[in-house]
Formats: sequence, C-alpha cells, structure tokens
Amino acid sequence: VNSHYDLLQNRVANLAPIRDEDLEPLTHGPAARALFEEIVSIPRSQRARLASRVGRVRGGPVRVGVAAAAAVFLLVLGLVVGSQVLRPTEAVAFSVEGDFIVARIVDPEATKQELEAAFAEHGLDVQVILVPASPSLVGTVGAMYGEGGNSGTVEILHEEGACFTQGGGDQCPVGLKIATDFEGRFTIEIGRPTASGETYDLATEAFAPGEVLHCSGVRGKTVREALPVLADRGIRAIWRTIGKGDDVRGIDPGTIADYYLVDALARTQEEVWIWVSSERPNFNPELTAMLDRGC
Amino acid sequence: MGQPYRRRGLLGELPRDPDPDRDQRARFQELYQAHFARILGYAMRRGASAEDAADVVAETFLVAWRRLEQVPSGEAARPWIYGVARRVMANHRRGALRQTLLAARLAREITPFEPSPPNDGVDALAAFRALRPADREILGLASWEGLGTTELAAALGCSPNAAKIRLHRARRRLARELVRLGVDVKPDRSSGHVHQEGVTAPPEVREVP
Repeated sequence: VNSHYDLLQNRVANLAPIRDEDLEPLTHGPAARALFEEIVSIPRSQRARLASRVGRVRGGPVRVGVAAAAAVFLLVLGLVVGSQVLRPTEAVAFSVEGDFIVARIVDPEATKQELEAAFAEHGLDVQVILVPASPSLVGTVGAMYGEGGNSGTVEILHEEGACFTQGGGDQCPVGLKIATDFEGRFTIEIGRPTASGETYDLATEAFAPGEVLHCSGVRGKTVREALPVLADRGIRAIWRTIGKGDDVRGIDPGTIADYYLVDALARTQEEVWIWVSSERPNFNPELTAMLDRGC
Repeated sequence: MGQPYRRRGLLGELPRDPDPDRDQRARFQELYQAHFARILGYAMRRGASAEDAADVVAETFLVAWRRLEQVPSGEAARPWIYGVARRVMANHRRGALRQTLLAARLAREITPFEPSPPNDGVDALAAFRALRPADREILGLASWEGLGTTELAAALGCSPNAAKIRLHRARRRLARELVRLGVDVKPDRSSGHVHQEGVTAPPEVREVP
C-alpha cells in the first residue's frame, strides 16, 4: 500500500508547476522587503494584544474552566434578561432560496452575542469575530473560515453596489449563503465600528462611497491641491510614492507637491495612506464610476 | 542572543529606531523569511495569478503579524501558516493589504516566475483536476508542501485521524481517476489487492468515530 501511495504522491508532486526553491530569490527582493516593512508598520490589533494578556493570565485548566463557565453564565443571563441585550431577528435576516439559507446582516452595529444568537436560532453553529472596519465595511463579511463537516457548503453573499471592496469592486459581501444540508461549525469576521485612532483590520479605498475621501475631488489632483482639502477634513495623510520603498512613516509632502494622488487606503478614522505618482494617472472609467457613485 | 533585530538578515539592516515591539518584529522577521517563498509557491501552485498570489502573501503575513502570539514556535509554524494561506485563498479575504499598490509591486516581481507545465503527463493533470477541490488541496499539501499527517491536521483544522482518512480517500479517488483516464500506474504486487486493468486499488479505510 505504501509503495502505491508513494507512487501517487510522486505523481502529484510531478504536477507542481513551480517549486519553492525557484521562488526563494524573491525573498531577498525589494518588494518583499517593502512588504515586510509595511506589515510591521501596522499596529498589531487590540484583539491580538488582549489575547496575549489573557494567555499569560490563564494559569491552567481550572482558571480556564471558571472563565468558560462565567462566559456561559453571562450569555444565559443575556438571553434571559432579554430584548435589549439580544435582538436576533433584527441582527440578521434569513430567507430560503433553493437549497440555500440566505443570511443577510441587517444591523451593522449588532454585537457578537446578537449575531451568534441570530444564527443559533436557525440551527447554525457560527462563531462571530467582530473586527474594526472602515465605515463602509461595517456590518459586512470580511472573512469566513472553518470546517464544513462532510456535507454542504457556505458561501459569501454579495450585493452589487452596497459597498466597494478592493478585492471585489462593487460586489459587497453582505451576508452568507449556507447550504440547507450544511453540518458543521464555521467562523465569520464581520466589520464593526471603530473608536477614534483605532486601526482598521478591514479597510477599503479611502475614495470609495462612505469613506473619508469620498467626493473629496482630490483623486488625480496634485498633492499641492489636495493638502487644503485634507486639512479641511481633518485627515492626517501618510504619503507614499509608487514603486519606491518609502519610509513607513511616510515622506514629506513638500517634496512631492507636484505629484498626483493615485490611490488611498483608510487606516484609522483620522489617518489615510496616500500613494502618489509623478505621472498624471489614467484612471479606469469603470473604477472611477464605482468610487464616485453618489458624488 | 544579543540584539537579533539589528542583525543583517535576508531583509537587510533593520531600522534602529525605538520600537516597542522589537521582539515581535524579530520573531516575525524569522517567520517571514522562512515562509515567504513557501506561501508564494503555495498560492501559485494553486493557479493564483501573480496579482492574486501577491495578495495571498500579503494577507497571510498580515494575519501572522497580527496574531503572532498564536503562531506556534519551531516547525509547527509551517502548517499554521499554510492554514492561514489556505483560508485567505479560499475565502477571498479582503484585508488591508489586498490589491494595494504594494501587492501590485510584488506581483510585478513575481510575474517572471511563470509556472512551467507539469513534468507528468497531461492525463495525470486531467485526473488531478477532475478531483474535488478538497481532495486536490490535501493531496497538494501532502505532495507539494510536504506536510505529514499531523501537519496536515494543523493546516486543515481537523484531527490527525481525520486528516489521514481524508488523504487516503483523496489518493483513492485520484487512483480511480487515473484508471478512468487509462494512465499507467504501476501496481504494488506485494500488497495483494485487486488489480483493475493493471492498477492496484488501495484498500478501504473505515472512518474512526
């Protein structure tokens, strides 16, 4: 049996179109270095830091057990105490379409408990993680993962035009499509509102509808033209130039006053990363139409 | 140990500015350097374009940075990070670095590394592609990424026993597809299993409750 499996394993191995060794030189490349600097410049989330603290505090199974029991007690208390704590039918709207249960998040500010209770009411074992999101992505699905057991599927439900995402354009992830025969547990990340200064885990184009630079008119303008608009909106810009590994803290806008604004990513309510180019950008009309919707 | 964050590593000299997360940064740097090509290869072997592969790399390492406390130490980090990459690919995660200009820049560096056709025959590729995505994934993780049963379990988020069974079933289905397409697979005559047109079918494995 083993030799048979070895043979199959070799068959599959031979199908690999590229090997890690071939890609190893890219680890040393400028883009990999820039990406590394970019990532470590991003503050690690409150959630991660909290998990770290909890990890250190928890000394053993007794404490974990107590904590778990307390959590269950609080959940039960919340369910019993009632409507002001849990509003499952308001947090998520459910319908059936063919072989799928369609779950659409309708309360963008619903709590984790409300969302999980809403799914549980429909027999769905879903863990919700709320992640800090830029304004237009609050209440949208940022990620979904988990094991689906041995039947059925879970897909993200999209609605055209409800928001703009960098990965999906105007296909906004507003909920889930869950096969009626699905058995299993999964986890979804849903965008939540942030406090001032809190870094977004889920972010999109700052020029998109609902975002801090929507309808600002500075996309494609020069840095010199944009600075007063940004100041007027109380935005702190971290300037980057395209194709260069700029310092993670940004560059002096005075040195790029005649450069053009090409791309922008919201980082916090107050801070935006803005990429500029010395060449006048030639924007895709379809993308521009999506970003300028409502202006 | 000295000051590892000031060593000249693969990424060059790191800044000497005050940094409250120096230990985490040093640990992340090790993780990044050890797995950058692996995660890039993982994405490209699964058909990701240069742009998508760049996104997967960026998002996977962003998750690793943010959840550094959860990353197991030593060799156990490898299946953990493959597990993240797998979820990033499967669920179209839209994180902060997805399709940014930085990822686009990385994509430009990736483009010259175009995947080459497989060494095996066209029929073997057809048999592999005919499998369900879950089967292709576990076979790929085992053969391309070289994960053992325990590592497969960590990457897939299941028990080692379940991983073993899934891998076995995937191999069995691949063998059947190969038979169906008439691909010659040398039989293991010592195993004593039934031969089908010159191919040995692997034995059934019962799922352990």
